[in-house]
Formats: sequence, structure tokens, C-alpha cells
Amino acid sequence: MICPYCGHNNLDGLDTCEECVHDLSLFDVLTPTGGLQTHLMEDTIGHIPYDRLVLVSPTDSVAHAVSRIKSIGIGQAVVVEEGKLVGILTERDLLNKVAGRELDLKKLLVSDVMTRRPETIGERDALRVIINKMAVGEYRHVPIVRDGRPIGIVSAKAVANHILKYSGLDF
Amino acid sequence: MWISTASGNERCFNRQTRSLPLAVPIRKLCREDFTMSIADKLSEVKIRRLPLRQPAMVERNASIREAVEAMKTRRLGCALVCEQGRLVGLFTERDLLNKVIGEPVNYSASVEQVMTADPAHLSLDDSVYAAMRLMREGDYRNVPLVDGQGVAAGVVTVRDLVSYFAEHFPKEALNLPPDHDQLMRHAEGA
Repeated sequence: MICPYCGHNNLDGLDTCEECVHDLSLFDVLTPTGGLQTHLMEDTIGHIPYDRLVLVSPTDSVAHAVSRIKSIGIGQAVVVEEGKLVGILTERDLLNKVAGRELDLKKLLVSDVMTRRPETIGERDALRVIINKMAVGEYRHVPIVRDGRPIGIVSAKAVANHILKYSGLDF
Repeated sequence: MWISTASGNERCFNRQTRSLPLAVPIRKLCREDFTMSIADKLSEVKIRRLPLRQPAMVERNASIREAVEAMKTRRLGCALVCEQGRLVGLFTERDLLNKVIGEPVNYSASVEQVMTADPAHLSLDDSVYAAMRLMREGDYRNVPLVDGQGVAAGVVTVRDLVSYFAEHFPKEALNLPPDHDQLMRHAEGA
């Protein structure tokens, strides 16, 4: 950051200016300056439209889960046990673990294919938190949970569309 | 300063350490980052400048199994179907789900039977904004890219776009306190 006292361009995160040793710690607190930045920091997951949830049990067959997913027209199912989230079954799981193999989908269980303990997010978390999780963890779908129970799922597409809405380009 | 790692754990890193342990590289912030709006950037930056991954490509007469293997190898959700280099179709995870898995389709069948023919595509020189618009309007997650001669050149995914935003707002999106509701009013230890 640029030191407001002497104008020296310091590395981000330094407590004191390398040139004039003035205290920089108070300038390091990030406050939104308007526009998209404000939306990133202040909008919550609740502002993004959720995808519909398809709930399946770990003991359901993959054939059953796949037909449920197809009937709704989305790409993933959330796996719950006694109401609590235990996993997620996505198109990527089907690609990696089912496609191209001679498997009987009626005998294969959801628990054999699902991704266990997926990354989750709370409905009151800020938009920037989901962008962080998606960028760093390379996820496309993150379930939204309230007290361990899934209430929705947020997709990378919904996040991108929300950003486009506030980018200033969307007329 | 806290850095979120790929495993989801946050760790504190020493401010004296000048290398950031990040999965996504951060550019050094400069004044232009705050003065140039994201609208300008999205409409000016060309798709070719994004760090795109190598696409999964198969020939038109390839089998579904070959397309699936190519997607797994590249860790991508789609394969470009080409004929002598030219883009003729797109086979995505959604096609796999809807037309192959649980259906009486043999994996040795031609990918041509289940692909989306003549998919909507963009050029490497189109803007990031054009990719966002096309994804929203067509409800796509993957947009194939061609070069000036119509030769298949890559694919841009919605995840590439989210990573681009994270990079555009590194302070907001990549550097979060461990408790996301926590706002730091004072520096650590102060």
C-alpha cells in the first residue's frame, strides 16, 4: 500500500512504512468503496438465487438418484442422513466414478459415489466468501446449510450472473 | 493476515514472509486496480488472457468412452468434438447425465450420437463479458473457443470466470479472516 505520509509504495500487510516508519495498521482495514466491491463484501448468499434441491439418502441406489436429478433438470443431488448433510452427488462424481464402467446402477449405492463432507456455506456469509471457496477449492456447487441441514445449493453460474448484474455492464 | 487454503483451513502467516502461500496467484495491487472499474476490465480483457486449461478434444468418430476418458484426464466438464481440427460438437457432463448414464447406450457408440452439434462458441479474441453473457443467456457452464480460422482452440468455463473475479478483487475474495463475520478494526497483536 502507498504510505499516506511519505508516498512510499510498501508491500501489502506491513504494519509500518518501510521508508518513514509511520504506523500503517489503521489503513489496512478494508472498507468497501462502492459499486461491485460493496456487493462483494455486503451481499450475502441469500441474495443469490438458490438452485432447487434434490435430496437423496446414502442408501439410495445411484439409478434412483440419477432419475431424480434428471426429472428436476439440474446437475447434482444433496445426500442427507436424518436431515443432516453428509455428502453431495454431482455430475463430476458420475463422470469420474460411474461413466465408462460396466456397473449396475440399481445396485450401486449413492454412498459409494458421492463426495463426502463437501464444503458448505451459511446463508448469511458474504458473496466474497463463496467466491473464495469456489476459486481456491475449485468447486462449482456449494450446499448452503443451516444447523447442518441443507437449505439450498449455490452454483458458480449463479455467482457469475450475480456479479454480471452489478458489474455496471448489464443494462 | 489470513489465507484460506485449498483444504478450507485458514492459517495465519507471518507478515514478514513475502511470499503468499496461495493456490491462485495474486498480482501486486496497484492504484489502477481501484480506479479501473470491473466493467472496463470485463469488456476489454480478451478471453485468451485468462489462464485457460488445455481442452479435452476428440475426433468426430471417437467413442463415448474416449470422450469420457479425455474429460477425466483434463479434469474438465466437457470435450470438444472436432473434425480435422474444426469444432463440430460439444459433449458435456450434462449430455453424459441426460443421454448416457442410466440409458441403454453403449460406451463404444460414437460420441456424435450424444453430443450437442454446432454448439454456441466464441473466439479467443472475444471479451470476458461476452463469455459471461453467453453463459447466462444460454445457461451454459462451458463455452468452446475457436481461433480466427474456426479451429477449436479451447474452452472457457464458469469456474474460470469465478477465478477471474477472485483475482480482480484479491483483497476482498482471497484474503478472508477465519471468522467471516469478524471485521478487523485493529491489526493483529495491537
